[in-house]
Amino acid sequence: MSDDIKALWQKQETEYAPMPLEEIRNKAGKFHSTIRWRNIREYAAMAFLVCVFGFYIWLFPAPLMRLGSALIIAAMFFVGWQLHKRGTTDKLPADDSGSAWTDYYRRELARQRDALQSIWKWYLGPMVPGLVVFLVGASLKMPPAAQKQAWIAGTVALCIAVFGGAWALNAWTARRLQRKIDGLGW
Amino acid sequence: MTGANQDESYRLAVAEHGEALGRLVRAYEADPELRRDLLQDIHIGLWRSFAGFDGQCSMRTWVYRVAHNIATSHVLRRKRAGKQVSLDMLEELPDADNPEESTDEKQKLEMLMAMIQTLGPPDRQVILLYLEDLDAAAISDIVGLKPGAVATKIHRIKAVLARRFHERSAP
Repeated sequence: MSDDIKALWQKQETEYAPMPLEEIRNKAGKFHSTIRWRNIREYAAMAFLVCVFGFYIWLFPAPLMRLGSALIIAAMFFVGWQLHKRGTTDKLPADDSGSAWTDYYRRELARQRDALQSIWKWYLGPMVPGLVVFLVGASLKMPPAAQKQAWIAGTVALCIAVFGGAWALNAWTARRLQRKIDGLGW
Repeated sequence: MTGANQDESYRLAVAEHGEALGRLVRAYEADPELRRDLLQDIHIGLWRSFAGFDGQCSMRTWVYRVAHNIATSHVLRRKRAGKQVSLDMLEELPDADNPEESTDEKQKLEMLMAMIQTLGPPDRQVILLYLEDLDAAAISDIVGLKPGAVATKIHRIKAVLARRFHERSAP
């Protein structure tokens, strides 16, 4: 009975020809192409922001705004260094891909959880001091008026929404992964 | 392992298990484009893995471990994975179709594939290895579950397949 199903399964046609060894060797070095492209996009965005805040240092005379811009640029370099460090160590699972599936699966879930939990420390968090100093400097330079308070409140609310939202989403996904790990019955 | 040995091991593995890898990716990825990428990732991962292959397990065990592990990473990276069910749930679900009416093997195969693709881990891994005709001990070695747990799962798989495909045991 189930032998028929096995036979049916095993005689199905598969549409793929084996890859030549030369092609495999060539592509092995480019294995992590998706991560490399992600990093290139991140580096480009960082370079753009470094230019913008570099321009602000030149443009704005207020010392706090200049200091804030410099801190944000420093944070960008820190994030870039972290991306480089993590990009070169975050290999595809070739190193442990020969391990038993249950061990591998648990490690993969834990790796994703850790990546989400740490994003605040090396990506979002470092930008906060510069942003705060810059915004304080900008608010001090504004003439006292009714719009000033609204501007400050709006800007702070926007920053909290963006950074808090990113943190909450990551934390929620990390908790979901942890529940999945806890629920593994082996 | 030297480069020449690595190449030779890879060649042997593909000659022996290449077809099974083609079947495996069909069960993990329905999208043909992504399926091609996954198969390529598995081949590259397999070749790379042979640099660290120490012969502590059989080549077949190694090939299936690497293939299932890389396919699992692929599934975890995909955000649009549909709802997954366990074998227990599958036993309780009503049949979606009535293959009794049809002797069309293609249709049966499509139904089998659809069923496998809804299974969550580790049921999907176990059923795929069962369909490749591996016994409980070999499956246990690849998946990492205890042989008793694998045997229970195989028992359930047989029951599900029998019910789904309306092929009753002889009275």
